[in-house]
Amino acid sequence: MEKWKIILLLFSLALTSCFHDLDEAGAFHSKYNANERFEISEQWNNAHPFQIIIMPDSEYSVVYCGDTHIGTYQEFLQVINAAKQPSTAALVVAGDISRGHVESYDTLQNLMNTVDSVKWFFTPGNHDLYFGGWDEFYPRFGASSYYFVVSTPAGNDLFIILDSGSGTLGSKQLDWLAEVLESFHSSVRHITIATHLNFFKDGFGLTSGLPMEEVNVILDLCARYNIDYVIGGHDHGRNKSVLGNTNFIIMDQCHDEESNSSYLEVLYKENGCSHVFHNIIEQ
Amino acid sequence: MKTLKTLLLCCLLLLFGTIARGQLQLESALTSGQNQTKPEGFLNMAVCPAYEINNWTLGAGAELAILNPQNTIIDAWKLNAERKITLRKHDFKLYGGFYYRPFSEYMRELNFVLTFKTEAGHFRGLIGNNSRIWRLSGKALEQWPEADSTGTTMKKEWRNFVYYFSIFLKKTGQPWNIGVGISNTNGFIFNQETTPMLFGRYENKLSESLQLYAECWLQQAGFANLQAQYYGFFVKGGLIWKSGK
Repeated sequence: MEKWKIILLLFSLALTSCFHDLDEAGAFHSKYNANERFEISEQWNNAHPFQIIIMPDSEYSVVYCGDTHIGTYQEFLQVINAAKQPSTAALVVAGDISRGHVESYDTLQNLMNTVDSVKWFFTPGNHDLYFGGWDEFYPRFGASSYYFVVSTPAGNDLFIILDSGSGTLGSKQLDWLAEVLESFHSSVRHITIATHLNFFKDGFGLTSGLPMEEVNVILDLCARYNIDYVIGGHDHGRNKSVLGNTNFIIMDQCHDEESNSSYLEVLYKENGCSHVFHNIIEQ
Repeated sequence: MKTLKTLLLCCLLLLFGTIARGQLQLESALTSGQNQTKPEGFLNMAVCPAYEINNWTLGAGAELAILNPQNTIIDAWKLNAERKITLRKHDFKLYGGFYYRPFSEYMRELNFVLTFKTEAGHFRGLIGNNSRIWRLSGKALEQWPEADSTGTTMKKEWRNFVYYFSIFLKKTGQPWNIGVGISNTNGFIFNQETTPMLFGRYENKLSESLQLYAECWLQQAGFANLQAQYYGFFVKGGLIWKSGK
């Protein structure tokens, strides 16, 4: 029996060392839950009113990527450069930007300090919250739930960034989402939601989504408020579904250590939206 | 006309004859709890009649949302069939069900469930597949008439692994029992396989035809996978009545 205990202990240690980026304790309990992070984000939002980006043309694009898992950032740098085009309004990074460690956040913050010609927007994924990562994310990058508006001569577009890093949006963020949609939907052309988790699954898999009741609440809001795009990452493999008027996009990863990375560009026009994936060339 | 009446009479006689040989079953349950979509709480009542004959059980059921319905008071309904089979002197149950949830004015959730369950000693287990379809309601189709031609009226998730594993203090068939387990399904809920729920169950046979049970379920978002946190809980109490054969 003792022999088996030793083998089990060694196996557990080996497993733990193999997954340096996995927070095993976090898989059972979080330091901050979604409602607590939302309340902290609201304090930030009250002190920092939502941004309005003014674009000279009614057609423009927004660049999206996710799962950069910094570390190294050669591929992410290509996405940042792509977002520097004058016709691009913003860059949105939909979670798992870092690996949750302090040194990973340091690297990310140092990189973003050098980026001055791109309006960028972050939301955390589960990896950003590992190892108490919220204590690093919030002081450096601010709120995890917020919205911004792109204003064009033909009308305004609304972009909502949601925090789904712990597998639920939480009751407070869900209420807030419904309120924002209710107050904006009649006065904007297009609405896009970006968050880390995606809502649908394509076959058996180990990646986690939101509980079904929550998916159903969000699907109802998407239909009710005619949302154009819901963009997520997390699965490290692109997928597209359309239900009613809403495009549900899962992005590829944008991670130096994996092949087939890409980013997403959504084109916002007067009479609709379209999107294109751009493959990232490994260097 | 006379032939039709005779045929109808024969059919009715056959039906009553069949019912007389079968066994009726009625399960009713109250579920109450709280989760991130209903932080103020909810109360549902389910009624599920079934009819057992030979090795088949045919059933139906409806869940009524008494407190805080998401859309309508009829939260969900189902039709199901179960076939008892014996393999190497061990009983298994093959279950097929169709579940319908009108959770929004604009959207419906349909689940096609096929499971295989068994009991052995202290263990009870179920595995299977759930195919989920979200589809637009008639009201949504009026809003987006082009959805029909563009094929965007529904989203299908063909493969969702369904499971229920539990271990009980006593072997099956005892007057009372208590156990714990893990599952991604309960009643009318079918989570994706990566969203498990933990539960405890107590059951007590009040008489030969009446059984009472009580369950407590804990829902953790991102459990054993993401940065986990509390999502919700519910308690469920029910009665199962079976008529004498």
